[in-house]
Amino acid sequence: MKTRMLILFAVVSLPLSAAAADAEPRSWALGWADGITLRHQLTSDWDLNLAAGPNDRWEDTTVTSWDDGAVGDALTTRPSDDKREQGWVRLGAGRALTADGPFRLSGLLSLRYLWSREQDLNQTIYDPGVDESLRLVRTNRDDWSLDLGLRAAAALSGRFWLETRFGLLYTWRTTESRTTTRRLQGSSYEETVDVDVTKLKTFDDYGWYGTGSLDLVFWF
Amino acid sequence: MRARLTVLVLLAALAAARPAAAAGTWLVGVEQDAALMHLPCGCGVIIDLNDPALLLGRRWDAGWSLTVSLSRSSSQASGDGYDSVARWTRLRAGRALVRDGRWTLWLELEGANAWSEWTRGEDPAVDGVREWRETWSGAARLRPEARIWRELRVSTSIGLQRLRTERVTTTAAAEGARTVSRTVVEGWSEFGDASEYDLTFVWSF
Repeated sequence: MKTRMLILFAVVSLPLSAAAADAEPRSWALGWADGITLRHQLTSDWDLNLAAGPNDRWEDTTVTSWDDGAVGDALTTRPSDDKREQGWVRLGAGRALTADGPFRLSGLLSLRYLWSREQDLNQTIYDPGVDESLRLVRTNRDDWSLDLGLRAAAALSGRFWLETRFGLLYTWRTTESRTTTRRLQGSSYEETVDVDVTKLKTFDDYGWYGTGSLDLVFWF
Repeated sequence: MRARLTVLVLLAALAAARPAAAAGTWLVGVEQDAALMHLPCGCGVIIDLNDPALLLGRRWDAGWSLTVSLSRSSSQASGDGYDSVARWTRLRAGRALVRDGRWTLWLELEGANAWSEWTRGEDPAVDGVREWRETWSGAARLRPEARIWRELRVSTSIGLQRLRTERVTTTAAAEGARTVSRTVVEGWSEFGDASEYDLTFVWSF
């Protein structure tokens, strides 16, 4: 999605800076490549990239219904508490393959880890302590991805570069979902627990329509 | 309350700007959230700009900036019988990290408040719906900015944000039934997706 946004900048930034290839070499860069990215130029050919980003969410909802308009005389209360702690981090190395004026092409090898801890809790309280039901779903997800690709970069100025990446992505995903259901009715109490573990491997290419990225990098 | 907050923010911006009035420029501009349409070529064009906000600010030659964005919108529909009003305010302090030709990369820290109210029905407390929503957020933005013509600059931003939204919806029916729903949403997230990004034009003088 950032692709579309950054294309706007590609348009307004033309023409490319042909002098960029001759610009003074710099060691550190800060930018955006799926998330905040830090890059270090190790040698004239090799660079190291570290990128990361969060995607957390916590939602607490309470729905209370009355039939006579009087607060404190609720018919039902439906609290829910949904949480998700999610983040990813990617470490990669790049190797310059060729350069021509303001353009550069590099090979990339990256390892990405994404973790997600999710909890969805839904309750219905018809009569507190007497008639209640609860459903709790806990989902843990871990993704490891290996990325082998190419990075094409164009210099807009000596320090500012636009880049895109394309290549192959191999992902191992493990998802464990635990669903707990409880029902209290008078003195009767029922609980069921269901555990589901899924392992998934995917092998995809990326970098063209719908999956492309356009990254920006500022060199310091 | 919001009016007071807005005035406070404006006064803070002006007070911060005064001591260095001779060593910087003033900014005026517009900031909008935007939506994109995807084309078969894989590129995008802007098809919808909404929530325009007035932006005022000050930049100092030493590389600091302070801006405030203000937006207000309201609508009424007689057919469906609803009223809505929304306001948001953003205060940002920025630091130029890199300048290169017509490009500048800014790092910004932001505090923001958004508030809205939506009602349906002549008396929502008796027979209708009232929804009230307020969001407080803090963000760290990276803002690439390009000077495109004279002192006209365009920028967008990407970064991380922490937000907290509280929403209360009250539904009342004439026969006396009433439902109150209260929702609180909190979290960290990145922003910069097509549904979230902003486009900002400023003129400095």
